[in-house]
Amino acid sequence: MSEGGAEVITGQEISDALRRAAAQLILLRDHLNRLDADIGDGDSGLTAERGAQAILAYLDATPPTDDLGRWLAGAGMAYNRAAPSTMGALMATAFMRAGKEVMGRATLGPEDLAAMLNAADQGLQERGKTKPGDKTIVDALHPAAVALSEALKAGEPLEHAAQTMLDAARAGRDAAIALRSQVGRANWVGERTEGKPDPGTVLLVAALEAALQADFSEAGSRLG
Amino acid sequence: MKKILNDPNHFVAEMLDGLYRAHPEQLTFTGDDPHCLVRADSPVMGKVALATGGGSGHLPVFLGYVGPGMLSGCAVGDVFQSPSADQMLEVTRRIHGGKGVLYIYGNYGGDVMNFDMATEMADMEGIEVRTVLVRDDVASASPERQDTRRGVAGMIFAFKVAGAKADQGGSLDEVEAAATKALAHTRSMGVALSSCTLPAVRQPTFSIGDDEMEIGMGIHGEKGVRRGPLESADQIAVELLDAVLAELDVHGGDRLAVMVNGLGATPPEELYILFRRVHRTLEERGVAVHQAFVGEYATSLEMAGASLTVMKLDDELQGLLDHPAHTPFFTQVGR
Repeated sequence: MSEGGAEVITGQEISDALRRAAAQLILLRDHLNRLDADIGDGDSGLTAERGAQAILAYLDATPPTDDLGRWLAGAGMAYNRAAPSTMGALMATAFMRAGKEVMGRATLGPEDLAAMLNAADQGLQERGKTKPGDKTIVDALHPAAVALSEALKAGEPLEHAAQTMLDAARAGRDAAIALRSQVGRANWVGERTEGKPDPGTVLLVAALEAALQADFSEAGSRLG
Repeated sequence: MKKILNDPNHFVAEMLDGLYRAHPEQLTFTGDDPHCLVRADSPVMGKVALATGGGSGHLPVFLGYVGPGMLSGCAVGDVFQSPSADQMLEVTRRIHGGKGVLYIYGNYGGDVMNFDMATEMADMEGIEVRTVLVRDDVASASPERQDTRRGVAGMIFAFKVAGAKADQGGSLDEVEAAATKALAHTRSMGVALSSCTLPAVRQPTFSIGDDEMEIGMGIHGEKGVRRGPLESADQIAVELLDAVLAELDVHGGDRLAVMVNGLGATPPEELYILFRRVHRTLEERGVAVHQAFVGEYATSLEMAGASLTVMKLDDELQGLLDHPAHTPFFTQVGR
């Protein structure tokens, strides 16, 4: 990011951020599996690891092109091919919808990032037939997308807006702990999901933290 | 559970390799990916193409119905896992004959999401795709929540009817309508006597007592409506028949297509014993069986048990059912 004036985000910066996020998900495999075993079928970490490995392989083989939209959609398809599970389909949808926002663009501005995050949020809600409050990844993603848009609209520089976004994602993750799962396999477990962190929100916050080079935080650490 | 295997991780790849070697005149794959299975003569220009897809472990579902008069292609997933959206897209591209593509597949979360994504991507490439979801299993949700029901063996009747309509030159609207009508007239329910064993897991997926059965169990081991002591074939036949007929408004003088389907480890002899009771009961009620399908049509690896599927026929559905079809696993002689 350049200092002052119009902030320009390059494909290389996005590629580096994705790399850090993918590496972090691989480190979190066992942690995510344990969280998922409590409320779902216990394979979230495996799926995340498989998808993240595919993203890393994609980034190795495919440097950012002049069309960052198609390049990002390609990363989503790589994730989906490696992990066609529900979470794989959702992640691919997020990448594809984000990519659609910036088709044909070689560099991005802060407002593009906000549009991409909003598109990913909408895509996940549509594809997963889920909404905020259902105890899914959306409970962290939606507030993050809203916070980034609003901070930028209020004139905050990208660095501050990104911090605001991360705080909102963490708060969303922690607020979701008390909720009861409303969708997917976790829904069958019903009230036993209350008081447990949702692996999707944990995954998203960890990925954002790694992308922004922020400290890793535990689910629930920002409560109260 | 003993299995004939090499490396369990190569279960699907080696199954597909064997399949292409056995049926080189009929089946091939596209996009350099054996999971993207299509008719060897794809694309058939000027006709609507039909695709399905889903996890492995259910042969002949799904790929077994790819051939003239039925499906054009099938995306094949790992055991009980959805194929990916781009595998579905790859199949879609190769089978498209210029008249659009209809997806027909069972109502399972991962499959729905991936097929929906494939639809979006196909749309970006100018290929029109429609979807008909199969939700025939009455045991999987109450009539009020039919939208959440899972699809099982009833999809074969939808493949057959829609495939015939496409083969006769129907438009995408007409083929979609035929599939929807077939499914509106079709209901299924099953009973499981034993678990299946995933090749890579080597342990039964669930446990069930030697003298027990689970009525209404799904083809991945999803729970049914009740578990109880194993009953006689006649008792099972009547319970399944009553459950599927309850939603089809069948009366004396009606005609049905009836499928008694083995889940993988029940011998055909037992399926005919079940069919006998189904047929006699229908006979007593003055209902005709236009065509019987007794055998393995949708399995769950080596699960023991059976399912019953009934399609209530009218002249149109009967004509489409009677239209010829030929696949490695299914042949209908025209009549």
